[in-house]
Amino acid sequence: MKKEKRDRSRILWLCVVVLFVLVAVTTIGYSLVLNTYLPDDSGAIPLIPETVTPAPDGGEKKPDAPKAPESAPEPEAPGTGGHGGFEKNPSAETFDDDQVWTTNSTFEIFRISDENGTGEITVQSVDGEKVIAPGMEFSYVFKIKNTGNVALDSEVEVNTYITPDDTVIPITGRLSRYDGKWIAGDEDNYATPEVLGAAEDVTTLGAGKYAYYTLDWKWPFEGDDVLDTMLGNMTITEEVTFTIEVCATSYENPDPNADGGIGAPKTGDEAQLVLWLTLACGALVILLILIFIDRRKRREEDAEGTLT
Amino acid sequence: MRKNKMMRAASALLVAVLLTTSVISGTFAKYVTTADASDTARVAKFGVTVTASGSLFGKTYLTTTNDTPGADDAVDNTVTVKSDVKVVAPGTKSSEDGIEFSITGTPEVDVNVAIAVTEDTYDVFLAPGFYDDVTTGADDIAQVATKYEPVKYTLWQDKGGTGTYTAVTDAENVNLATLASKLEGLTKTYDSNTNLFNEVGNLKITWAWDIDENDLADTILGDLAADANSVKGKYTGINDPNEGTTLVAGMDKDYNLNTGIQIDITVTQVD
Repeated sequence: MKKEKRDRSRILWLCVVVLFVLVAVTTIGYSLVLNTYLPDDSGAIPLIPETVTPAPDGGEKKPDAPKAPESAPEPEAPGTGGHGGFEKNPSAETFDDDQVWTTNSTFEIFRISDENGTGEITVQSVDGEKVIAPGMEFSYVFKIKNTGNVALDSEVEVNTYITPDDTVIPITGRLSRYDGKWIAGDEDNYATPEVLGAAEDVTTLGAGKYAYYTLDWKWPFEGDDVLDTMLGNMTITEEVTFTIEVCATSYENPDPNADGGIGAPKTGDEAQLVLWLTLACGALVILLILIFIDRRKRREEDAEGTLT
Repeated sequence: MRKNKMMRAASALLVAVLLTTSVISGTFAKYVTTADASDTARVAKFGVTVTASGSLFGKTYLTTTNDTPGADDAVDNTVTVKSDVKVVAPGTKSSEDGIEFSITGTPEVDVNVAIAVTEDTYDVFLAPGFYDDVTTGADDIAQVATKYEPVKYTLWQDKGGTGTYTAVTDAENVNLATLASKLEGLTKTYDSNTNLFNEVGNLKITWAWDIDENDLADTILGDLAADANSVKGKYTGINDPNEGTTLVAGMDKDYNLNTGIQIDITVTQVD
């Protein structure tokens, strides 16, 4: 009976140990995946200021901040290519405040309603579809981040589409980059849909750095009333639509040490969370094993004492 | 023996944890090169329509239709009034339909419906004063006590097109100035997705000249229409011994013989 109890106890402890190991593995795996979706701290004020390095194509340069101390090299990821002994891991991410872009993503640059300066709704879609009307405008920011350990060139391309073909919709737009460069339009002028739809830009991003773009559009309220009214009446019987598309393509820069973009601010916290979790789980496992061994030893000693 | 097996098992598990960690982190390393996003919107609907139909005046007024306008070439034995131009006369009136206009549409934007009566609007009137008493044929002087505006207008409204018109409050049998004010009072801003036909509906204007209201003033106006010098006025009283003065036509003068109204309806998106 006692022997059965001891066997059961052992099996039980073994199961507990296995269970903790599984939990640890799962935690580590999830933390690595979910780390991608942590809130973007790119807007944080750095405790140790970084220097903003302009893109090589000569965009306007923002005033330099004091130089940051040099950081340690990025950790290597296993299973990747090498470069003079250093394993390359080129990767990039394009995202806004709501989502990370993948393929055929939808961003929120148009809306189903609009308010005037006093907060009153003056445009409202009747069927929940996004609408555009004279007087509406919007500003949208998206970011491209070099999440790898080598320099990347990131290409941004804007396309516009209007249906039906040959329809003129007087939407105007402009695109600017983080360092003040205007890719379409400028500070005082919005570009036509044709110019906006041909906007392209390439920027170099150092490892761990990012760039952001601001895309503005508007339909001037005081424009061509005849055209505006014609479009508003035309849409009663057929769909008259306007589409803005942005494509972001990143590829490895021939010089892996090329630089550009905005560095992530150093907050002072360099804790290696994964490492500590691994060590903590391993220590817990060892502790449980030791407790199990100790209890078994005592039982055996008790048994010997009883026999004698 | 058991102790060794347990120890080995525990050690093996620990090693497995460490190996799994490195494998998973390697598996989730990414090589994302292209991403794209788009958004589409349609033009917000407007679709507001203003329509008008009918007429107020005619060259003939028919006895068979209760002295309302008839065809220009109506035969003489059917008319009470006939002229080469559109006229009004005591006892005549517009048809029951008058002039109708309507505003339809449900725009997805806020709109202002503005109804304006333009400056090309004038009314028949005779200013108050002392005039030749043309009803007696003698050299008497008679008084028109107040400004005489014989053509009385009515503004009707049928919200939602029910088919039943109702006279707009304080806009029934009024002079043209009051009618214009009431029309312009319908100017209003509507929220997006408001069915304008339900809010404004059909509007109609009719008029009538009561034949029994003031024979003296009616006759003076009729004589002046035939000959501008046929009636004198501006006497100081009914016993004024002096000669009267020739009257002057015009909206801000002694009399006017024309009536007409021009209405502009504009529906404009507001920001």
